[in-house]
Amino acid sequence: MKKRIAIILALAVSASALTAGCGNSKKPAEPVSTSGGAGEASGKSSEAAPSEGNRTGEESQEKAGDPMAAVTDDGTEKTITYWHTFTEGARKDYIDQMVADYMEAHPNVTVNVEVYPWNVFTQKWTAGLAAGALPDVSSVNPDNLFAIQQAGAVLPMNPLIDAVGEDYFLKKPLDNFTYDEVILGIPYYLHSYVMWYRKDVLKEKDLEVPKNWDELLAAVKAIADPPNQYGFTIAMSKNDQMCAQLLSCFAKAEGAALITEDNQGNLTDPKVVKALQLMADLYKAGSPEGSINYGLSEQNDVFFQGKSTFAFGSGFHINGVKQNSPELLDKIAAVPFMGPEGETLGDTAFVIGLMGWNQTEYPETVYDFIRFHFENERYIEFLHLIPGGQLPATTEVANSEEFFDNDTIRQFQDEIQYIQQGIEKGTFIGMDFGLTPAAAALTSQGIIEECLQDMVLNNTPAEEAAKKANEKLNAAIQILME
Amino acid sequence: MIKKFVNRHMCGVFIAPACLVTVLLLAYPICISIFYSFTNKSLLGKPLKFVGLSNYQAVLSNPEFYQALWNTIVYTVISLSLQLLLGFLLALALNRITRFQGLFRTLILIPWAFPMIIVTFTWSYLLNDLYGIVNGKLLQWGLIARPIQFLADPRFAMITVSLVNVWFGVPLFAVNILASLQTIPKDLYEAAQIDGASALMRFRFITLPFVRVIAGLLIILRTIWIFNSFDLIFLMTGGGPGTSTVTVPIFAYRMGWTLYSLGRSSAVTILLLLFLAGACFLYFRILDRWEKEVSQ
Amino acid sequence: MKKGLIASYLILIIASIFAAGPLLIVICASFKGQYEIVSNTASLLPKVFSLYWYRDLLEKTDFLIYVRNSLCYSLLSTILGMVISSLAAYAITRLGGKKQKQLTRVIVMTYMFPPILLAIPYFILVSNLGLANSLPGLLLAYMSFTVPFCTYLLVSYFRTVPVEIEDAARIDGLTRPGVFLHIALPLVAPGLVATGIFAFINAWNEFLYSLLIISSGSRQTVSVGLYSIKGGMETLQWGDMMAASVLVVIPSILFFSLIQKRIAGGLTAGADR
Repeated sequence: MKKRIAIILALAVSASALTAGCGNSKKPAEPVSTSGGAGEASGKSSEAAPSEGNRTGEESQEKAGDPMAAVTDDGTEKTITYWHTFTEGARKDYIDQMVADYMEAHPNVTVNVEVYPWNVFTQKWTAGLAAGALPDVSSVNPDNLFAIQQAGAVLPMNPLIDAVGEDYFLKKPLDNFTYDEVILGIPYYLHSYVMWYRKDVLKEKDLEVPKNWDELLAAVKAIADPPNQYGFTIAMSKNDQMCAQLLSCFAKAEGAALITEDNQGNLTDPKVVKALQLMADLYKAGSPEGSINYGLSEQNDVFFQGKSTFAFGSGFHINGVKQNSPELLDKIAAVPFMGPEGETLGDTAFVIGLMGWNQTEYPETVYDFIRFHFENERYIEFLHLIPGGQLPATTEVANSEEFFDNDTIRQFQDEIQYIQQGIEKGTFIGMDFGLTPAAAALTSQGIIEECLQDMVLNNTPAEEAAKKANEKLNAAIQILME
Repeated sequence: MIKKFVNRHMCGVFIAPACLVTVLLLAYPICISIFYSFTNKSLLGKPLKFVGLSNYQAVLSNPEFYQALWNTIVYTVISLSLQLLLGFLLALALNRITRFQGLFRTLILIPWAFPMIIVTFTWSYLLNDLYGIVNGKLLQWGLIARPIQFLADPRFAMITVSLVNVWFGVPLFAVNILASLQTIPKDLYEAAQIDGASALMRFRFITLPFVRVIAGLLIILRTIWIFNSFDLIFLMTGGGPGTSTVTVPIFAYRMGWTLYSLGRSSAVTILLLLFLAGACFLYFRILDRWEKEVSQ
Repeated sequence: MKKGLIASYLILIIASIFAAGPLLIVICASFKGQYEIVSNTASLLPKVFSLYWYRDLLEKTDFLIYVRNSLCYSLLSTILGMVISSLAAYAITRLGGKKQKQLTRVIVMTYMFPPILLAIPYFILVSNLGLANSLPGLLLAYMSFTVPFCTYLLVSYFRTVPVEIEDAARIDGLTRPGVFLHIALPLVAPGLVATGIFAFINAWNEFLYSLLIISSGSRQTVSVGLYSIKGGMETLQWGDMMAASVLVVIPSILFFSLIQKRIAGGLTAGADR
């Protein structure tokens, strides 16, 4: 009996070791070859998944006007998977409708839609990368996109841009998604961060809108009256990236980068240290004490409930206030982030993009489906679901009257203008010198958050805390880049 | 033919599916983790190369790893000892009462019906500093002047997450210990009483020996479970404030999932396994001794 | 004697308050209105009784579909797990003596791997077997915790079946598998039920594997669905979460109250090992 069990065990162990072996020998080979392909732009993409359909597509592309749709509608059954992150009611329903419309227009194409909240997206992608099983099309944020590119899984979007023309999308956002001339993704909607404030509270205290850091800190000190009114809510949960984003806003405004051109942490730069000090001071002067453990949604809640005078956020704040405390909607306004002396040298932009997987069987369908997102009327309808929060990425819509023909957008004209300027001037967090995997170390590890927690809990001097955080950041960057 | 084979080798045939599952689902990850732990395996498509012990070196020379290990031990010890103590107390009480046993048993089981995500969500809501009802009531009754920062103050965070874990885990102990209490023959107690043994002595010499074997098994299962549990702390504090609630699974998660470094996180896993295997070995030795005492 | 009894009731009442209190608060909060849920938090009872959040939840999300999926996956995983483990547990018991002890300990050891670190290897495994995004793939992953746990519990149940009965049955002409099917299994039926419940609850609460392995939105489980509700938006959806919590927890508790005798009674067998 014992022997038999031993034999069974041995067999099973060797079998599983074999599968493990297969997994290993196969895995590294694929990404290497495909990332090479990605470097050489457009045409290569279809080689990753050669099939009759897309070969003819490549050839006819140069001649025919609409090669993608032509290939997509060649009659053969095609199935693509689409992951997106628009989990809440309106946007989810919109996407479902859009996909239904697409399938109606292309009866031979089936799109499987799968929805995930942002906070599990990294886990889905990480596991998907490990196993080589990813969706054909997906919504994506900049750091994930770049990691996926590093893993050699990104379908270059250059053919799509070649087909629709270079001016179809706004230049700057598209540049932000371009690496070595390869367009990694298409921006779906844009925003940048501004500083929101409550007009009524400032007026009540007879305060001006702060124009520099000293005024901001003084205003926060004057206003803070916990638990009725807080000054500036600073969320420091290590599960989120709010401190990193806010630090990026302050640092970019004064012209400092968080990651240097040669991919090193730059937290010890005196300008960055000063920004860290400001954030710690703002926390102490008037952030809810428990905000050490807050993430994005808790931080937003304080402002949306009318309990925080200042808040850092995008145009999504308009919608948040509207949904939670409609009576406050007339009392909020925003200005761009400023440096210590009021300078506004740069902004932190954020983009939700659409990307394709380079192992897809139907690249033309992927391109065609992505382009379908941007058909004017449909696209404006989508952007208006969160008015002011989702700003257009196509040139035509950005300059169209229809987009601005919306009550909320009219009401917050100035703010939206600031956000658009931010998009124009801005770069993603940590990517001041172009796309880099190092930026992921800023947002995924909770390093900045831990640094600020250290400063406010243990009264660690800013220089010392920044030095410790910078070492951690560099260690993480090393793991990412080695 | 097949029937005859099955009949003769029943044990082997019956065990085979379970072995297959266990080996496939256990040997595979262990082998692959050991293998990865000696490589620079990353999900970012870098060429795979052997790096010897450098992953282990990097982990073992990282002070945060020791902090995480220490936090994990503190978390496990607090959670486990309170779960055991309270579970025992409740089991004794449940065993003692004569009416409403069913009602109380159901009420005590309630926390167990909570999926972990609802546990963390509910407690984060109750303990919230701005609109949590716990702070709200304490303030209203004038017991505190300022809200208690249950999850944001490094002095309280570990205690808070441990207590939430206790809340969730007590029912399992209570119900299991109750079950074993009910197997103790009543005449043993009566005989002891006639012999003039005090209540304390009856507990020490009759109750305890009967219960401790099942309690020991529970302790092993729960130690492993708590040691490895990720979601409760991750969802409540994410390891903060500072590093006060970073446990080894959270530490490993930050390496493996967000830095895409399977090599580094595998090394953490193997170290964790070694530690747990050691702890279990110790438990088994104690359990063996207890079992011997019972059978004597 | 009397004092001990009163103390016991007192302890149980206090414990019940702690155990049931949070649930009570959640239930009350779930009936608060759209704005009241965040503004009126100091008082337990809603000012105005409202079903807003239940309607919101059921209209805006596919919550009921998630519940149905979870029920289906958990049941299947329980049945499959119970079949595999009862076979194994019976065989291990019949091996007896030292082997039995060693094998049960090996089973305990299989628990030691933290699930958060098993997830990636499992996903690779499931994908290599071509089972990603399929029910068999998910069931395979669920077996990793169901089989060891159930086998471990069932071993102690099968030990209570006296070998003499089985021997008698074999003399009457039953084959060994026949003995297992017709004699041993019916004798441990209560234990099977109790173990099955444990297995079911573990599967019902599982999050990470179902997130990674089942990717289709309409096939998601309750845990993943809850996560989407909680984390999907820019603000906390307290109300939706409260309503969802009530809808997930209350049925489990009703179920517990029906079978709590079984849980306690069934586990008794586990105690006398």
